[in-house]
Amino acid sequence: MIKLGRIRIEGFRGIPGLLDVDLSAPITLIYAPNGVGKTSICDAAEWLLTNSIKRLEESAAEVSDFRCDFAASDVPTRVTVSMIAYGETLEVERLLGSCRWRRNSDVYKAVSQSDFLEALAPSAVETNVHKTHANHSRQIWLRGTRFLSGDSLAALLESDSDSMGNRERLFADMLGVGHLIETERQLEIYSKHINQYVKQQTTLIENRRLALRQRQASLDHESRENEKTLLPHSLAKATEALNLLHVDDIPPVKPEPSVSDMRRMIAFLRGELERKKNNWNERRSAEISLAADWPSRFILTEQQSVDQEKSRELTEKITQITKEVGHLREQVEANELERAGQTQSLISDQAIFDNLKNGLAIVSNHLNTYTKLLPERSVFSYQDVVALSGEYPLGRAFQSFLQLAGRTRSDVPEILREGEELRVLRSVHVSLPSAEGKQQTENDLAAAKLRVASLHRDHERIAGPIEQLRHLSASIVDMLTHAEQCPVCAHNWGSAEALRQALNTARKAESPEIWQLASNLEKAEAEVRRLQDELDSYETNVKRATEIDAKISSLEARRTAFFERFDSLGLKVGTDLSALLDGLYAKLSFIFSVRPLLDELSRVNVSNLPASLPIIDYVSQASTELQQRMNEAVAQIEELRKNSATFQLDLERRTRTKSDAEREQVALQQKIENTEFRIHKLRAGWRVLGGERPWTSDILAELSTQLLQENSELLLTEELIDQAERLMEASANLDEISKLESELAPIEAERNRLTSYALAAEVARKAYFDMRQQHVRRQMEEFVRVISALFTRMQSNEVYDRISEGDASSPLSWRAISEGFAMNPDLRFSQGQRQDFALSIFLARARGLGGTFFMDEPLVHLDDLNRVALLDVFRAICLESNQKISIVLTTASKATLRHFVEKFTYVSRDGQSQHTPLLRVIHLEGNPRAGVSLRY
Amino acid sequence: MTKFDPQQAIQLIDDFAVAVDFRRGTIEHFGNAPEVPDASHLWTSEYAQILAVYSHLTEFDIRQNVRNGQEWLDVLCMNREQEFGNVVDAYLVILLNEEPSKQLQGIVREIELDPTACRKHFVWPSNAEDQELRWSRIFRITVLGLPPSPESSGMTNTPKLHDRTQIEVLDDIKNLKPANAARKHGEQVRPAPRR
Repeated sequence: MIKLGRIRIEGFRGIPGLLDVDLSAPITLIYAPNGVGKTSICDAAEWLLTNSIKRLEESAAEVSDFRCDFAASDVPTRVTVSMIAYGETLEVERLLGSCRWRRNSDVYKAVSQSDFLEALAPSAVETNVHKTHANHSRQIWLRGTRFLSGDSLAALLESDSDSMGNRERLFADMLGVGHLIETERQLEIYSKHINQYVKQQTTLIENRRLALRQRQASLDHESRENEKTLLPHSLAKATEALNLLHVDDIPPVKPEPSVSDMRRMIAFLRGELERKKNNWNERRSAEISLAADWPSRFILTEQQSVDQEKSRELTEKITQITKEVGHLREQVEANELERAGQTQSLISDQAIFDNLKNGLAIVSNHLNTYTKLLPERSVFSYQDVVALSGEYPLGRAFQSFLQLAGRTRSDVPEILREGEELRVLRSVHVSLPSAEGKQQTENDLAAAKLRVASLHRDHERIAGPIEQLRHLSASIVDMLTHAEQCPVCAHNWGSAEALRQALNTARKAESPEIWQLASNLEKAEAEVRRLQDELDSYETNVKRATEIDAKISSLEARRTAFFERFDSLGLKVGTDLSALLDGLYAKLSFIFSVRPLLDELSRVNVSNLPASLPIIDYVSQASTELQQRMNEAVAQIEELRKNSATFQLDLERRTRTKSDAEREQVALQQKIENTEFRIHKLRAGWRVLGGERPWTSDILAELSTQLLQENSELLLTEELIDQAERLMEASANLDEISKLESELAPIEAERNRLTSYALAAEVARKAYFDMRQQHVRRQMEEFVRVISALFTRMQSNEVYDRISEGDASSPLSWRAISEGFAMNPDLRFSQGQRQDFALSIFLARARGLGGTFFMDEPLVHLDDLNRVALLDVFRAICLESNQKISIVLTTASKATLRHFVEKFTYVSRDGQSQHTPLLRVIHLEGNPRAGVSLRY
Repeated sequence: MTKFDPQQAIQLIDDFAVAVDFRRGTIEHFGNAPEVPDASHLWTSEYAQILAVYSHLTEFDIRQNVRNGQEWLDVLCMNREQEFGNVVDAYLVILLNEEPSKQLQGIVREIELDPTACRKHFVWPSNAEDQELRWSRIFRITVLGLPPSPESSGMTNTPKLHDRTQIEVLDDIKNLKPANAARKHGEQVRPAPRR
């Protein structure tokens, strides 16, 4: 049992100065916010006991990293503790790089790591275990059983393969078998590597054995007995083959050659044999190629000469025909060219003829119209018409002139009518008043209107009220249906009817003044109307006079324009405008119609006709002459067509003849080439077979016999070489077999040596495994009951009934039992359940071991009821353990601190409260920069 | 069905209660608290009180016993707190003569999770032959002591190896690490390479 009393920490991790902590109470609760140094106290204890801090080792921290960065330079990095280890009182001081102790109040002495760890974990390590391994095992055991850190808990909560491996090692450490597992693991690694060497040797042996089997299988029984004679026999066979090959340049041969010598000689022989066989095959192929045409070799050469002569003749014939065909083609083309020219001329003459014929009738009509207007002249000759046409411009200018004449001619009747109208208009007279008279009338009208207005106002002023009274009295009369007395003067009229009649009479009576006013008003209004009519009449006359002037101006302008046109036509105004214009228009129309005829006549070569002929006769005779010329052209064209047909027939016939000759030439050329190839083949074959010797049948027979003989020799030579090679290979095989047999033995010995190491490792690993399994099973049987009780009481929400150990095949495993079913905690437990489970194992182990245990933040992931249950468990463990156990806990939770205080303050181990409390609370304050202090 | 022997359960509770400084107490009658059956059992200490009450397997009985038991414990704890001046925990144990039905187990779980007044635990025998396993639910009572953990001498021994090669292998593994040890053994003697 290892029980720590006070621990003094200086310049270590998060503690810059000195911190003296009493850990002797059954429960020491270190409370501080994060970063004040809770974990540093746990780390200091771990460093002191194991000379390492596992969580820092995993992050590759150096020992120098253990020193507090904020420690003063004169403060050492030191942890001192007073402790009881297995009944012995120890004072231990650990500095960076050294450790010393004082045993049972003796003086301080330096202590080695091995001695110190042996004192803390004295059991277990055998004498034959190296110190390094023993130290490592003891470190693992101390750490696993004494410290439960946040990192350890985190490893318990994760499910990846690395974490599961870590968890298994942690459980193994808790159960005291971590060192066995570590050794097993190292033996497995060793086995894996040593088996690689064994496998290499096995592969070497198998390869050699396979080669040996293959060589032994190819060796016959006699070979081994005749081992000494194999190479001489091989040499004899090779020499015999060499003689048969008739080689001039023979390589030197030793009298007692080695296998290599024979291998080189056989290679030489095979090269020579191959060369000879190639030469023989070439001549044999030549002999075979001669066989087909050999009997007809002379006929072929004669036939070749005949065919070549025939080919030359055919070539000359084709050349001649080609020339004739060319000449004929030229003739055909010239004939066709002439016929096309004739045809084109005929078409042109026909068009002229048709135009003359059509135009003649039109011209006759216009000429008649024109001559009727000219009684002094009825005949116009060709030359007259040409002269007449020459008086006027050509083209569009003449057309415009003709259109102007036509329009002027059609305007004559209108011009005559407008002249009459102009004369009438000039005779019209419109009377108009003077300006003064008009002004007087306008003044009178204004005065009359003023007078009417004045009379109207007077009349309204006097007659208006009387009229209103009349309306009123009419209304009263209508109402007086039964009254007989006057409503004004009360005169009684005797009856209602009399009263109404009297009143109506009075109402209708008119004043003479009003009557006079009305009469004057009517007269004044009549005067106004008269004066207004007078003014209106005046305006009408002015308007009419203006219109007559405008009309006269318009007519005069039109007449002026007409006579200007008349002048432009070259006419003089006479008495009969219509006659003048009709004559001009008939003349122009005649000229317009005759001009196309004159153009056509100019295209007809009729110079022999007299120009004095009347134009009509002239055109008729020209047409007749043109007709005759056309008939001659038709006959000529027909003659040319017949000539073309004749040339064409001749051309086709010559072309066919040429094609026949060319085909014959092609066939003959092919025949010549074929014959040439056969002759060449014969000559080439003979050159290979007979060289320059004449190609007679006797010499061919002699050469064939020689080939047969050479073939026999070559076959025999090849057989001899094969025999020599077989003998040489048999000798070489025997050498190799001897060599392989000699190599195999040391490799097998080496493999056996390595196999012994592999077997030793496996046996050792099995021994460690068996011991571990046996120990774990025993441990598990004892532990499982406590673990199950701890776990179930921490599980307020009941899911699992109890915990049991795994089956015999995996002794480091656990099962959670629920309703009779066993489940794997690794797969089924939640994070909180895993933490509860890990705490259960740790506490069960701690109860068995006794001493001081460190638990860094063990309640972080627990729910409220679980936390309450765990506090009960801590309390129970401390009460029941009879001062065997001390637990150092850290927390950053104020609520957890209060809860601990409530649960533990008035509890004592011996039942005497207030004297020896179970719980000691240590408050840490400050930080690594400012310094860390504590208060209880 | 397992025969119900309440004395077994009471004896087990007693054993584990005494281990954590409880002693048997007598059932008192308080005027301001409901009566609890005389057959009930009380364990008392300076820091906590445990009351064990029998109940029939009916919801009514269970709820009535729980209600009466926790009110009774409440009054008792108040009296104790006035007497000692510190907080006193209370634990109510309901003893059932057999495993409740599924329906009743739901009610049991609901009551056990209810933190009102005191911690509640239900105990009934299971079908296991082993007596401790049969009354394993007693181990769930958080305030009681625990079954003894086995005494341990710490780390177990390592196997004793006598074979010379095995000892050599282990020594080399520990001196050189496994891969280096294998390399040393594998390369000690190598056959001459083939010409």
